Amino acid sequence: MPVYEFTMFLDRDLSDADYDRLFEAGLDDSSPGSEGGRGYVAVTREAPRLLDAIVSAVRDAVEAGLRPVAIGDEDLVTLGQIAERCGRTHESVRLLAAGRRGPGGFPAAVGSAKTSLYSWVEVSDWFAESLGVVVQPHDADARLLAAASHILRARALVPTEAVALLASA
Amino acid sequence: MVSAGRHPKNAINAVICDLPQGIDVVPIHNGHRWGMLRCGMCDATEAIWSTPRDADNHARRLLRFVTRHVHDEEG
Repeated sequence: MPVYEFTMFLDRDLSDADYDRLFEAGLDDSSPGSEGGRGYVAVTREAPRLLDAIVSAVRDAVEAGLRPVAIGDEDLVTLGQIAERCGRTHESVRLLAAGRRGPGGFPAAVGSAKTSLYSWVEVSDWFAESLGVVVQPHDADARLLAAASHILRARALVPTEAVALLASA
Repeated sequence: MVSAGRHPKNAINAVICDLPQGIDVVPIHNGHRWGMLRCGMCDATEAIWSTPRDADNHARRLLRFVTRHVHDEEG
């Protein structure tokens, strides 16, 4: 099953007890934190579709007593995610990244060994400039994440029933 | 008994043992949190679970936190 990654931003900062509630609500696959006085949950979720991952993660946060008010995308990706987005095998991308195939100059990774991460912006630019390949399979996911974020923002403004009615109009 | 400085999952340990200057680990050992990463520049924090569902995924998330906050330092 695919693994999806995104960040849910919360309506307030996290207390000590919130962390345990998030863990027990099922977000033990995610990393909650605090930045600029606002709580967030960096989600890494296995699900059949991105939509299922978003819906279940939002429900888990609500069950923990928190309200997600926005969703953000991730720029840093693994070689496996790059392979998926480019429609190549993991081995093919690994060889490109190592400079053992293709023109070389693949963007540098951060981290080491199996936790290596690459900037998707840099990698997609490299595919366009070095291989002349425009990689956009990520587009549908980006649209869905943006739509989910708009709906969460709307829900923070008006009752859920009003959002549902507007969405079905 | 787990020592205060070493996380029981190797993938997580690999990240927290190689932190750049300005980011440190705050031990908690309370509830589900083993500790947290903290950025000394902006005071942002991120939980380090004792028993994450998938240690490799959690390690990758923690590495993202580190990377974001190294960028902050560089301005």
